[in-house]
Amino acid sequence: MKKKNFLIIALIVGLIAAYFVWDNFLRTAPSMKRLDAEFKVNAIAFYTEFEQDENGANAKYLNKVVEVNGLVSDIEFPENSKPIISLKTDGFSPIRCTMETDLDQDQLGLRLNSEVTLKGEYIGVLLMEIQLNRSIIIKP
Amino acid sequence: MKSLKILITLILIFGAVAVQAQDRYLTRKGHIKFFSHAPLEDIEAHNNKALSIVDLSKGQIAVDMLIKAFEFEKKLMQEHFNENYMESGKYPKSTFKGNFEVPANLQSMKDGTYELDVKGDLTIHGVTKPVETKASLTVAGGKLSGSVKFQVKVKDYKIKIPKVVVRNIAEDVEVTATFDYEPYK
Repeated sequence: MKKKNFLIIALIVGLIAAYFVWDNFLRTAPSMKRLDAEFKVNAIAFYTEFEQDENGANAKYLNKVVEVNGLVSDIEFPENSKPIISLKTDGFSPIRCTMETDLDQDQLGLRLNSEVTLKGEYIGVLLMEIQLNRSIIIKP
Repeated sequence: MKSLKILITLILIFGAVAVQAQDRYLTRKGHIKFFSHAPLEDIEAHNNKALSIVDLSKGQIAVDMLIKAFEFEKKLMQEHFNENYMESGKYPKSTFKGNFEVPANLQSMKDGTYELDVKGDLTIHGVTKPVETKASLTVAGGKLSGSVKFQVKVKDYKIKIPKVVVRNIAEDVEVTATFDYEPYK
C-alpha cells in the first residue's frame, strides 16, 4: 500500500515537472492561422492613421494581430530571412510584412500590384514604415 | 536682364537643393546580425528591416530597429529572445545615434573606403549606454554603403540570462551591421 502511494506521488511530481519544463522551455506560441485578428484595416487607411497620430496608432496596435488588405508594391527574399511583402500606401513608406514561414515566389503566388489580404502581428513603426511580423496570406 | 536674374536665382536654389540632397542617405533594408558563441551552442539572428540615416555634412548616423524583427533559425529561440531576455513587448525598439568626423573625400563622395571612429549612444532593452566603435563607409560609383562590427555586453543592458541557459548564451554578443544607402531627399 505504501509503495502504491509512493508511486502515485512520484507520478504526480513527474507530471508537474514535465508540465513546468514544457511550459517554460518547449511550448511555442500558436501559429498565426489560429489567432484572431483584433483589427481589420485597409493599407491606405492604416497608414493614414499613423500619419495623423503616430504615437496613438502605435499604442493602439502594438503587439496586436492585424488583418490588412492592399496592393503588393514589393516582394523581397532576403538572405537568412523569411520573405517580406510590402503593401502600397499613399505616403512615402509602404507597410512591410515579414511572412511566418519560408515560401518561394510560386508558393506565395503573388504578383506586383495584385491585391492581397495579410494577417500578422504589428511590431512597430520606423520613420513611418509600419512593420508586421509572422504574416500569413488570407486572400491572394 | 530681369529674366537673367531669375535664371541665376533658380540655378542657385536648385543647386542648393541638389547639394543638400546629396548629404543625407537612407536605407530601410539595413541588415543586423547578432552572434552568440557559448560552450553549448552558437546562436545567430538576423534583422533585415533596420532603418539607418547618414548625414555626411553633419557627420551623424542613426540606426533604428525593431527587436521583434530579428529572425532565428528556431522558432522557440526567437520566442525566448523576445519574451524572456529582450522583453520586446515592453521595449520594442533598439536605437543607435552617433557622430563621426567626415573626411573631405567622403563628403565629396570620392570612391574609397573610409574608416571612421564613431561615438554615440546605444539603446537596448530600455537602457542607454555610450559606445565607441570603428565603422566604415564605402563610396563606389556614387553609391554609399556602411558596415560596423562590435561587441555588446548583455549585462550592461540589464538583460537577465537565467542560470539554466547560462552555458547556451554568451556574455558578449557580436553585432554586425551592413547598410546599402540611397540618397534621401
